[in-house]
Amino acid sequence: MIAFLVRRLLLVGVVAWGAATLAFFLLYLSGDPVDLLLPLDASPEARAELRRAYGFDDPLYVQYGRYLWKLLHGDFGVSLRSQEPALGLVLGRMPATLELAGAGLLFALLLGIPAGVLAALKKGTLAELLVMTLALLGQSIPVYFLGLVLIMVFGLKLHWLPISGYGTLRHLVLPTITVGTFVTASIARLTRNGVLQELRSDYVRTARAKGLTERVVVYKHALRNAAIPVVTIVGLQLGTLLSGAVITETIFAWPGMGRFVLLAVEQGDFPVVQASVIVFALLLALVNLAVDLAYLWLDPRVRYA
Amino acid sequence: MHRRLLKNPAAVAGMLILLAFVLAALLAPYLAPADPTAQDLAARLKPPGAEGHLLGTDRLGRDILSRLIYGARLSLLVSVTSVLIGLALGLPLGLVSGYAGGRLDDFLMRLGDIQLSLPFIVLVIAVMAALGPSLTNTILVLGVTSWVVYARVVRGSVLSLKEQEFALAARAIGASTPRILLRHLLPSALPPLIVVATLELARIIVSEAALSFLGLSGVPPEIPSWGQMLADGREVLYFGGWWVATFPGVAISLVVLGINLFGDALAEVLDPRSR
Repeated sequence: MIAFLVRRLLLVGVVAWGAATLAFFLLYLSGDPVDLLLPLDASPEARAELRRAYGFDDPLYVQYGRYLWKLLHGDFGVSLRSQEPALGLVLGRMPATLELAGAGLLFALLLGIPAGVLAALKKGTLAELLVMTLALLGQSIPVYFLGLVLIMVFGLKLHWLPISGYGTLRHLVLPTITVGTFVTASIARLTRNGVLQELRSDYVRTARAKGLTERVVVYKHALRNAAIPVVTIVGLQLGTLLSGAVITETIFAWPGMGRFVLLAVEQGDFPVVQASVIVFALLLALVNLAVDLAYLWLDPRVRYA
Repeated sequence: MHRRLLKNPAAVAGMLILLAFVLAALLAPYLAPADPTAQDLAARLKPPGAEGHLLGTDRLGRDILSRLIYGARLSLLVSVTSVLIGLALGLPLGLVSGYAGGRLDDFLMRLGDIQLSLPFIVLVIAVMAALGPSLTNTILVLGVTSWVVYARVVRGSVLSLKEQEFALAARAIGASTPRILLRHLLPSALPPLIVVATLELARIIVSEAALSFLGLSGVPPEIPSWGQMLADGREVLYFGGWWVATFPGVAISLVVLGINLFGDALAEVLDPRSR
């Protein structure tokens, strides 16, 4: 158990290092990093000054080492726009992103799992067809279009809910549905398949044979085991959820990290883009770690020796 | 196999949608009622059904139906080329990774893990910000970043196939490694790969439109793109112009639905275990 935790934490470190390496080399993708750090009309003197200040004339491995060393000390560079530390700026936007992604996930679990179970238990009925059709549609509509549709219907037409901004629970409703629908659909489909598979298994037949009520068979036996593949899927969908959150934040003017990184791209604030890449990677790695821990709790067979 | 696909109503529906999509892209100049870039400021924001504009016009008076039909070209071009680029990278890497195992395998798979540990859209946004937006860069970025999906699938197939008797027999009679990989393992590894490549088409179409929607794809304004149309539509939403965003959104959703329907059916037909 301890060894497993240590290994998983090491993996988080590897992911952080990979993201940092990507963020570092992004600067050189365009050719000259100075182009990304200064406005295009900067004077030659300013360019030379920056080149000296950042040490861009040093060998690449020296620069790379220096970059990692600074990161380790919490120095993620300075926003070109506000001259504030980039890390602080990005972290300041994290709570809003966590709120949106968390609400989206909760929505997906609360709706997707019961829908999937219902579809499995009512296999061959209209209820199953309805759930599966909706799930297929939910997986096909892109998040940005869904967001616009919700704005059009519930915001502009019916005036039920606010279409942009942040703060109250009412502001959270439309973004949550936008970000959560794709994951809801995936969870519903896989829960159905998982439950169907469990219902066909030997232990369910045994449980039925010894006269347990259908309720006990389904809820105490089958669903518990079907929970394991669902957790796997949730883990695999977290990246999709965060990607969806980035777009959703832009549509609903939600003050999170996704909207912030896009603004930074628009304003050519490259240090903030770099810091965002690393923070997003770390966030996803840590949440995945949490999913792995959920396995431990759900599945006693998993021992992670 | 064809017969079993044709017996599945969902697969047929999917194929019909995809057929319409491909035909719209290929025959755009013959199908479109108007020039998709022709502006007519006198006919700005005409609702659907307005004279001469079945699906209405946008802010610049351009015919939405024509832009929709021409937009299929960009989606088709980007998705097919990106998938081919991804396959060209991922297929050989997956073959070698699965067959050779060892350090190379470890390295490639960890690299894939690290890549997948970044939210896809953040990765793409960051790379596009560094490279600068252009259509070529969009295709390259979407293609190159998808290597890991193909590599994983091929590797998985090779891992299970290489210990099977036909592969061992080929090795025993002295077949060279490339020959074993290409003649013996690759054909059996193809079915799941085809399914994944099909579903990837949908993911690429959605991603390209997302980049265009966010203004990062660098697609020139004179090329109609569904993502750009959505972005245009978003801006006129508040003035009641619901149709500008709705039609391209429906088009993307339909094509993705078609691909999903077809891909799921394909997976069922190609995977003997699911019969």
